[in-house]
Amino acid sequence: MRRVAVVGTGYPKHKSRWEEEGLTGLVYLAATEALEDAGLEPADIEAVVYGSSPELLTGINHPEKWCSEASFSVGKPQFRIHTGGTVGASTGIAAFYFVASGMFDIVLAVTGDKNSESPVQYGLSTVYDPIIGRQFACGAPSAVALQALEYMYKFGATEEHGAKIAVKNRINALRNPKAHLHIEGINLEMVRNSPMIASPIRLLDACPASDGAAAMIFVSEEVAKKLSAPKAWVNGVSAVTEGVMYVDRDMTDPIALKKAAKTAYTQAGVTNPFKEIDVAELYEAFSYQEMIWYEGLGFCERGEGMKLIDEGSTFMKGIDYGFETPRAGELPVNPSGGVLSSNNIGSTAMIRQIEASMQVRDKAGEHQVDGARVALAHGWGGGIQFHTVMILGREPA
Amino acid sequence: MSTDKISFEPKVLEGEINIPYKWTTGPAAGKFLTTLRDERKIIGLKCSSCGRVSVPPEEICGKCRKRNSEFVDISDEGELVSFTEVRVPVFWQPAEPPFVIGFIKLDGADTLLIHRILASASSLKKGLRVKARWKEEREGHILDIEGFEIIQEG
Amino acid sequence: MAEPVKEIKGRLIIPYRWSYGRSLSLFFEHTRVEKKIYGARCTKCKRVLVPPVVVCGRCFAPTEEEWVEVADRGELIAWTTVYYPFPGQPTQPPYTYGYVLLDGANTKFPHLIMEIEPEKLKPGMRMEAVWNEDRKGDLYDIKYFRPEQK
Repeated sequence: MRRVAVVGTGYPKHKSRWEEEGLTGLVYLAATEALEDAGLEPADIEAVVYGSSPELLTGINHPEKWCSEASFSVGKPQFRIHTGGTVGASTGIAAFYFVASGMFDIVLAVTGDKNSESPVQYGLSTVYDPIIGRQFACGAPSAVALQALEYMYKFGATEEHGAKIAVKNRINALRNPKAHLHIEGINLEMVRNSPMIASPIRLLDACPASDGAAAMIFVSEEVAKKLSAPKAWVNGVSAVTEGVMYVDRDMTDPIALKKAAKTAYTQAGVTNPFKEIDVAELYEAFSYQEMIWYEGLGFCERGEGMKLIDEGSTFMKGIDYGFETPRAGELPVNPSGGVLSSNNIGSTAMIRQIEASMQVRDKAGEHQVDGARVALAHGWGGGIQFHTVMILGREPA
Repeated sequence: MSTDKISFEPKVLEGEINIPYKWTTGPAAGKFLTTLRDERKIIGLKCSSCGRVSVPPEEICGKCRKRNSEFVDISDEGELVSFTEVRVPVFWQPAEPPFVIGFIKLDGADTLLIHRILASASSLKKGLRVKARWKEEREGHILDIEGFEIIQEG
Repeated sequence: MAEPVKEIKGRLIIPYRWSYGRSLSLFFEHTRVEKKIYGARCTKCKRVLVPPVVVCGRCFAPTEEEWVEVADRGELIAWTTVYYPFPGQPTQPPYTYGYVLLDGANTKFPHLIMEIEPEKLKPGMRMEAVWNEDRKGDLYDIKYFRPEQK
């Protein structure tokens, strides 16, 4: 397997409705920004991997076809990836596979979706089995509500923990001009007073529905060395699936994530993730999930996710969140504002990879974690069953 | 299997997915549709690099990989390139089947427009001249043109 | 002059006929005729999947050879009360649904929870199915689950 680097990334600002751009336009903006960041031309791309969420959300079936010009795919191999919410990360991982395998040297991974075009929870509810389960579905919130409640009862997490995560990521988002939600003055009280969607999840415990796109350029070591753009080396990659109808399944114990993390850590030479990882971008579509993912990723022991919130370890240093965060800066999670601040679904898990790579490329601007050398990107999707982990480094492993 | 005592027929659940959408046109299709509505005129988009004129407008030229912004006026007349009679109904169709659709190469365009042909399939052949029949009430939709009629010679 | 065109409104309306498949057809024939819930036992790990699926996701082993009756009652694992409305929603909010681990099963069964205020629900609470008198061979052969009556 060859070494692979991310040399360019781009994503336009996410918003609730991009009135002036259709899906093709957003994909074009993302791809163009990534190429400019890398110092490459569209003609340099050898293959394209395209990802997007379930088609019923945008109502354009087979959108990669629609975006073949915008993604610079004409005359080149183009592949569509689809793993639900994980898709953005799976798209990046597929592009990594393309380059690592030796098949291509320069690959564009691009994703996009416009969640404003339909009642998004309707489309998401069609993900449920029509014979058993869809009858009660309320899109993603109800599935995650069940997971969150189980976690709260099992380990004693409270609404306060969820609210603190909701506030943390929204305050972080204020330093990311590309985030969809910029809620000035966000605080615990606002989260507590926001309407209940699916108990225990309140509106401000939930991600928004966004319009957006994202793109990344993956290149071989040989190409990377010729480019002046800063590099994020892809030092560990794993994607693991869990069954929906898995016997004795415990939604608070993400076995697929644990396995994905273990594989990626081994590849990247990470032995103590909490100490060795400088910054992480997790897929917390709903506030409570962030704690469950901490545990799955081995940032702490099982049932101790809330301790990282109580102690403030995953908060950014030097930011006032309106409550005590004594250990802020130990392992900042979601400096970009996370999924709670932008979620177009198709690009969301890719933006985790983009933000992680921006951190090790020193390109995160106002939400840069100083001196970040190792960054982690996570994604989940499907029936809370697909998990991906990517470790990006300032140096190759 | 321990349930042989029960006999059963394979079951089917009948259902429907019915989702409303509002699709963003983007700048190119938006301007094209606005011009159909307000000016009763067809416009195309010219690639600044290869000069190809696309109708309906292609926002990004697949060959030159550049975003297009130069709109040009196109005739509402052209040549029938290919056609077929549609016999299978789908709820969003503009008319009850059977009806005819075709590829039209409008004068001044380098791409093919797909639209309804207001004639019976048996009367058609490749190369016939066609002209848009405009609706009086237009709303900024591709069906502001009702279809294309054969231009009778002489 | 009117506003420039920025969006096109439309709709996708697609009728479906979802096949239950062999296992679920049989499963719902049991609920309809006998008011009984059956699961399929994995031939390898011996765990019971309800509703039955043809292959165990853990062992990749077939399950259909062994078809076992489970109870129409069990333990409440998790629940949520849905308040958020959206077009096309199959059940009108607010409603409460959750997972019940039926006695004898190793997978969780989703259904509505009724006859109790949501605030009084507790994990591990004993629940029982309330059967529909008019059964058609679908999930609503069971109307909902409620706290077990002594």
